[in-house]
Amino acid sequence: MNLVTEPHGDTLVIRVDESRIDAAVAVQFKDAFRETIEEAPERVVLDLQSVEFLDSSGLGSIVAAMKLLAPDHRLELSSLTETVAKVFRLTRMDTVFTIHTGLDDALGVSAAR
Amino acid sequence: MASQPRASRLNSAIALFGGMKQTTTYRLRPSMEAVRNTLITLRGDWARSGLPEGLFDRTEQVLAEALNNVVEHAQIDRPQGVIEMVISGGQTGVDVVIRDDGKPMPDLVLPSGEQPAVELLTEEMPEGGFGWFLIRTLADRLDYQRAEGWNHLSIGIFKDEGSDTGQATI
Repeated sequence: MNLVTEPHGDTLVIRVDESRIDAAVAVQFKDAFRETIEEAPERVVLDLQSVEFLDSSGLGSIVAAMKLLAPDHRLELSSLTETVAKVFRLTRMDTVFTIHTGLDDALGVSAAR
Repeated sequence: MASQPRASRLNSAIALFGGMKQTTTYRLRPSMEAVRNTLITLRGDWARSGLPEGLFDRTEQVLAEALNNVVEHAQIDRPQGVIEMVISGGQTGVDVVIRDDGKPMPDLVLPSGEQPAVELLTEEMPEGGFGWFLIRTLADRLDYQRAEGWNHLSIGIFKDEGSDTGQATI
């Protein structure tokens, strides 16, 4: 499970360098995420541009990631592919997460503050 | 050297009332890795199996959830268990039968797959329970039978212009 961290001012971007977050790797994702956020700022953006497939286990692991950061930090999502966005839409998890179309969008908000 | 769990497949053409119906059978051991590899293989096979372009994504989503469910429940603690997935279809839709030799579905009925609530506090947010909801939302037909020690889950996914979901929700 390859997570690539990119600090951008007061935001930490974590890019998932995997094409699938599924039942085969959900536990690895949670473990890797937990390690990655040890010194995270208040705002973390999970960049999913490389993820082409997400099943319910993968979705659950992203929910778990959000809970790991709460309450002192928040998790936002960026760059969802259409198949992944559809899973969020069907489950109504798109009402739970702030979802940015791309990193320009995600970081533009931060820079404007 | 560790071996990757592989999906093996068998292509067969069955003469049916004078016409030809192509089916492809995938066999896998019960592991999440094998499920992943089977779906990756299926993606590569899809077009040349004569299956409808445009239905792959919806089918993959349903099959991931259904197969994961078999591995996690029917085949729990059964490393030598057998899962077979038989796929057939034409331009209007796909029929899939997933059969396995594991434990039966509780009460021999499919889960209702209701949509988990998400209007909750962060700490109460569900991390599971979405699988059967996704299956029922995306599939058009679902049927479960238990026969001679095998589970048979039959799934139909049909083309419908303008819809990206199915009709199998209760």
